[in-house]
Amino acid sequence: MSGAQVGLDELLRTRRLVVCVGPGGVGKTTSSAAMALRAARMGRRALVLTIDPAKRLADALGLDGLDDEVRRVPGLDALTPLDPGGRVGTLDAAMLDTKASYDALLTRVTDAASRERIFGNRAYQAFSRTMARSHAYVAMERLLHVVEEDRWDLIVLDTPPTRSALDILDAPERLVRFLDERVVQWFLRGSGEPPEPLEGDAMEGAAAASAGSLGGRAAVKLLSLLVGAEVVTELVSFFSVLAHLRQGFRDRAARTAALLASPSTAFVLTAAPMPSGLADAANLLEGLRARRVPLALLLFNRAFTTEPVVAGDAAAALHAVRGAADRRAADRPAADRPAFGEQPLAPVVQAVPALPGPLEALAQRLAAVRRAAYDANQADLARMRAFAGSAEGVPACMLPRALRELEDIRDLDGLLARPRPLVDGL
Amino acid sequence: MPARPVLTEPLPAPFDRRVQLFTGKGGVGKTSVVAGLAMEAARRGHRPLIVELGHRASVPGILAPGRALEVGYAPVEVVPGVFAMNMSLDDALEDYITAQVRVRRAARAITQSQALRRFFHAAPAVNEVVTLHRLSRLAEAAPSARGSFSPILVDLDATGHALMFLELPRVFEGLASSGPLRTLLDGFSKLLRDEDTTVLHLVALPLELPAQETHELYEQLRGNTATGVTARVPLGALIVNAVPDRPLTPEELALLPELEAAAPALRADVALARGAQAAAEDALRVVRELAQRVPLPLRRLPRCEGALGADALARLGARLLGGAPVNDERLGVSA
Repeated sequence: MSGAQVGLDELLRTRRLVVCVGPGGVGKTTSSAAMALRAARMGRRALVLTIDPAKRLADALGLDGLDDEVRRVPGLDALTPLDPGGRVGTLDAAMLDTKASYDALLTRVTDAASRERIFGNRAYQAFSRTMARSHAYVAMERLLHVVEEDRWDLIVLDTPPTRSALDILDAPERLVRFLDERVVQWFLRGSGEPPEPLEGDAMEGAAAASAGSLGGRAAVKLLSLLVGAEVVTELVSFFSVLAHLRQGFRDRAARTAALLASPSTAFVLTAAPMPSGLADAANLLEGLRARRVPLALLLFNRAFTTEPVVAGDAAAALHAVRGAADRRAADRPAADRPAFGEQPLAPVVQAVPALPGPLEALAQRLAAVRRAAYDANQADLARMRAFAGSAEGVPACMLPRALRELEDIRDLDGLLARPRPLVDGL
Repeated sequence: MPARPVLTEPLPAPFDRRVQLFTGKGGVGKTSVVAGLAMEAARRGHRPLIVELGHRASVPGILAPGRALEVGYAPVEVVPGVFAMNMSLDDALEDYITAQVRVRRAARAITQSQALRRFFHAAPAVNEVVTLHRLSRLAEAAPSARGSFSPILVDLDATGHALMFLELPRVFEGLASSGPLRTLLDGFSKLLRDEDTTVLHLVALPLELPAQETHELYEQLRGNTATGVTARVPLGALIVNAVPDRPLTPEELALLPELEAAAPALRADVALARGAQAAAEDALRVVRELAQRVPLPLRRLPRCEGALGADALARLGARLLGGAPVNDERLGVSA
């Protein structure tokens, strides 16, 4: 068993929360689900919380669909325990549905009267459904809620792509700061009467006043000027309910911060070796560092082409190739499905023997195909090594390219079976 | 700055609109497509502007790698003839406030107030609204006006964010029925619907999951789903990035068994090439199926191995605008 495997398994065995971050398009959601599944095979009760999963993943998990509700993934008893003499645990999955999560949150933290006021508020209706930042906020609320429910040994959180991943970390604290803002306070104090439109000098007066000591009424007037009185009225009503809940939000933000900083939480950065993806991953790495979030593992996905397995089933060879997906995999018994290739791809296999004309030309052509695949591997490896070097001592490993489509949980299970350390080369 | 050619060579439809929005799942190469298109537009004598909405501009990194070029809110000429800018909340906010209070000094006083700044940073939708304001302003300037840009190429964030953005007018429907926000949103809605000015391109990869998501996005944009957007933004091209070439010709493929028999030592090479061929066929099948489900003019782009850069992206852009849209026959599996 390689060091890379130990590193990943150690996290899945010992931590209570694994947060997966990374750029889009690197298979983050899929590898999050694979991690939770692997933890289940270690006997743990695991939950994967995903953001916007593709339908295919839900299919692979054997679920009709994923939504806000936590669902049990069927069919785990058909898997073998990872530990000899051990047992297979359970795997649950849920998707973060912003609107549903918001409603559930408010149901938990408010009384019926406030709730009615909020649900009927047009500002709430607009923001809870659609805004990027409210997605980030509610994701963290949902996470805290499931952690505190204490029904799972391990929770794997899949996060939105890079640009918003950092928003998620900042969201609870930001909401508290927002509610604490003097401006919000002014807002609430200043809203005793409907705001009047400002004209001429009054505009500049209000603007200038804002830089120093702005009264509540002036703040409301200023905002009415900027966005319109109607929006302000709805906002004031929305804030006044939220403001009563401020202490609760503050407590939960503190608990969320403690959860993320806990030694039982691990952050895993998933990346793919494409240049654009690594640039995004580098931004993320920097953002995590700035927030003093320690990274436990770098996981490079879709990384390399391996040597075809020619000894066994000829079809197996097809799967060793970059990007190949076998549509018929599901039609064959599981035992016959090809294994992931394990041998690094050699630049040259054989000197091309003397062959009749067209065959020799073809052999040369094949050598060129191999060479191109090898070069692509090496370029990927160089990029991954450079990136891992910039992560200063964070352990790194790579997964074989997902060589077939996810048809069921066996395929998902195979994904993390053989991570390789970067130092192995290809 | 080199003098602009007197005559500009037109861009072919649907890349001829003033405002071109690009969306697609994260990691599909939107930024490369946008940068390539900008290079080709500049070569034809236009004055393209790339607008990024992220935390940090990524265009300079791929168009001018190695040059430590900071691209911020003010458009910067990244390579000759190609301009880029990155939305920043504070600057866009100052623009928006200035437009409302009409005195920049007063606007600055507002944005420089710590308390108000924190408020705007935390308040929902502020970012989206001021971004929209800036985009509307860029599009309002007459294309012929000094310092104005055309085409304006907007690299929208991943699909979810793009949908939210397009939905802003509806979100505020009923919430802002009059006032400055309404004026802005009405203007933006009009811009979004204006077929002569605006177009939204979809960028995808020839892989199952991104293709699936592109199809779902298309249905949402068409309003065919429960969560579909109501804004009818005119749709442009379906751009599929990084489509691999078939490594072998049909004749070569037919010779493989013979080669295997004649030289058993080459079995691994044969297997590898078959696999690569299967992967390419698979990618082409995904493209074919996607093109059937998303009936937009299709453009395929080759896989770019190695580092990007101005030259590689210029070739990508030329390819994007060069030929006629690919039809189904050319995608078909050769007999």
